[in-house]
Amino acid sequence: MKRNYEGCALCDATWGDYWREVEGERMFFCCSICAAAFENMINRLKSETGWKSVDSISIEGNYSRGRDCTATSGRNKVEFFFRHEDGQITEFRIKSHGTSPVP
Amino acid sequence: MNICPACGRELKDSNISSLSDHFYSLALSSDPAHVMWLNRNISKKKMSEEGLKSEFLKFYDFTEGGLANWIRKRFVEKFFGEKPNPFVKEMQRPSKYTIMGYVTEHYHFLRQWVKSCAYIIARTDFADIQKYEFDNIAEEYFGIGNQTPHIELLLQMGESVGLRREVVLGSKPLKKTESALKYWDEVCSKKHWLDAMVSMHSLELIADKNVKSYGARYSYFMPEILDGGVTKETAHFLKAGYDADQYHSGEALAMVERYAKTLGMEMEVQSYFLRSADYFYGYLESRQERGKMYEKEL
Repeated sequence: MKRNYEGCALCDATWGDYWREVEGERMFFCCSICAAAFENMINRLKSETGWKSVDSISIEGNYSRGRDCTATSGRNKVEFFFRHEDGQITEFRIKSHGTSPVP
Repeated sequence: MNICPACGRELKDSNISSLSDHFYSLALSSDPAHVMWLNRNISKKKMSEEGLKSEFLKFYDFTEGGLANWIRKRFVEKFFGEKPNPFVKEMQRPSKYTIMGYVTEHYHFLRQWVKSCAYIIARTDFADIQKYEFDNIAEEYFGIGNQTPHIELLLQMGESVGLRREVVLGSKPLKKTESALKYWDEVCSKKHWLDAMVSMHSLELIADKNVKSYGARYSYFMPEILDGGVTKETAHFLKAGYDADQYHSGEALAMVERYAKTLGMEMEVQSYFLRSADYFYGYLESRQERGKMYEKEL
């Protein structure tokens, strides 16, 4: 899965040393809460869109403000917002659907 | 005794090395509370042990401007900076639901407030501190002379936007409010009175009308809303807090600075302030959350 962060897949921090397999890929996270939030967010995205897999995700924002994301799967693209609390998704809103060239 | 601002653990030495080493080892083991604290306050980028120590030295350094101004600066960065607390953003032009959320959670806050101040009175022998807390309790809770106490003004503000006081009085605080109240009760009833004092009165900076002179991008609300855009009662409550909190926090922070120096508690006071500000952040989020709940319900 292509991501915009080089550090923690959710928040880009490089502290910590926590690894979790998400979508068949071993990913780095700064802590277990970020890992849970990321995994739950991907599962929610798949259930809302009906996608079988996610090819790319770009995340902007933080814990307090919530996060604006753009995700793609094949030629499909969605923009959405989510917020989490201790790794559990508390708000999830699809903002727009569209198509996009595969990144 | 100095504490870790992320987990509250008492550290055996009140120095930067002890604090920095504690954070470093817990961050290496991916402890969420410590990693998040570093991300938010120091840096998202991992650094060497020595590098982190140096960053902590900079973060805790108050030689320029003194301790009270260091507290103001940190508070402003956290609540009024480029990424303000979401409730502060909402308060710039508050909807009636924002006000309803404010009233409900703040009612619980004030009930704890009076206890916190009373604990400080009971746990210090300094008469100036006791007098300060006594006056503060009177103003917030009982009213001085023929002035209406702030808690009554708060309930009137709620009623002015359609929130019955019985609903407020019968409510239970939301999770983050409850957790913050529990923390403040614990600090004020069990820890040094100066730790309690900085934990509580630094929070009054939220309504300090001078925050922009300390570098804030926002103030608690846009002053022009007092002249229209909110109910008369809302303007009355906000103005009372705006006028009072400015000298409340200023006077209290001056006392904190003086006594922290005399008692050799400066670093400890800084850590207690930081921890309290984190709980306060969550408490403000609860106000916003409660407002959203009213918006859905009503």
